[in-house]
Amino acid sequence: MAYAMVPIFTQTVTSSVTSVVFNNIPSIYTDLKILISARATSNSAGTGLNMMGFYFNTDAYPTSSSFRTLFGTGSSVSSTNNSGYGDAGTISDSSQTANTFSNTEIYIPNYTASVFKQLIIDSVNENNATAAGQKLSANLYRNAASINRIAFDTSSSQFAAGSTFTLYGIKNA
Amino acid sequence: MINSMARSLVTAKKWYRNISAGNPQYSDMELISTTVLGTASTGTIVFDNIPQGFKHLQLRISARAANGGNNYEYIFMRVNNVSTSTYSQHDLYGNGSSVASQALASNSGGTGGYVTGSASTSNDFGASIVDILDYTSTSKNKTWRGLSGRAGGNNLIMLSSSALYSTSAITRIDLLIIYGTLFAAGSRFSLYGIKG
Repeated sequence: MAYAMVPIFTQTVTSSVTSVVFNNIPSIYTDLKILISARATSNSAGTGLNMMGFYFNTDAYPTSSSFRTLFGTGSSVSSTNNSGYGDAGTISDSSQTANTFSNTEIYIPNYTASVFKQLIIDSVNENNATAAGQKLSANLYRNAASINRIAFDTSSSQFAAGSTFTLYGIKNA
Repeated sequence: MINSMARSLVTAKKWYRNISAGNPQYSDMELISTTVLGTASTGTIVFDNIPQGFKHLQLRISARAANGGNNYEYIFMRVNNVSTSTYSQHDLYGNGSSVASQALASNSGGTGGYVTGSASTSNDFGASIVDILDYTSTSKNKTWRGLSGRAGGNNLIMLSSSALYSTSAITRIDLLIIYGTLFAAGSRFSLYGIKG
């Protein structure tokens, strides 16, 4: 019996933390998928503009790695590129409507393959006002190592209580 | 309109048994209910009595409008039968030549995405996927993220977010057609539960 999509583990933040980590990720799946409902405790980048970062394995993110984004703010659109860290999408922050959490999906194909890793991310945060983020992001992680650890942090310093991160394993056969 | 989930759950189990007969594939993503319109009979699809045993929900929609005369059809989405101005919505969308972002605050509903309007090519159904995270939480306002679109003339692709500013667990979802009054025959609306 093969299970096509299996929840590996859910991390639930019970009090504010600076990072959320999945350790010892099993290598028995083909792809990984992460669903994130998160909020930051402060606002460092501007309403709707705060982001999450991710780091694989030993957290040494290669400076040659890069990402491209398409980002809407509720009133304007931009497309950017950057490098040196991983973009895990947008996150709700303390300047936005209380008790409201961002909604993000991260898909990591071929996470055990000995090739560079490409990720796709779609992510939104909500606010009962104009300013809120909608982001599509493509990341290239220039490291051929199998992924066995994923860590998340946020530019707004801490994840708020109630944030959840669910890691799924996906098989193709 | 779906009045109860109980019968639909039975249908879902049959569906999985049929699949397993040839190629065993099980998943922690389960079909809760699906509606396929045999006739253009309704402009409102209701998922009621949604089971509370999953971590997240996902809607998958393949639909078009039967009338209204527009190129796109906007699907209005309400939760728990709330119709007050307690929703917000933000969209990032492109049409093949330009891109824009828009916001709607204090709105009377969120969005289930854009699909094909009745003025577009016949037999062409737009697609939408909506993810609702932590739908049973009683401490979070409810947010959902959608990716929808159609191509082949009158193109549109949209990443959307919506929120209902209520911390009640989600037990009901209504999908309403806006520009027309009827979804076309063949439109399909499926609700999945995802374990966590």
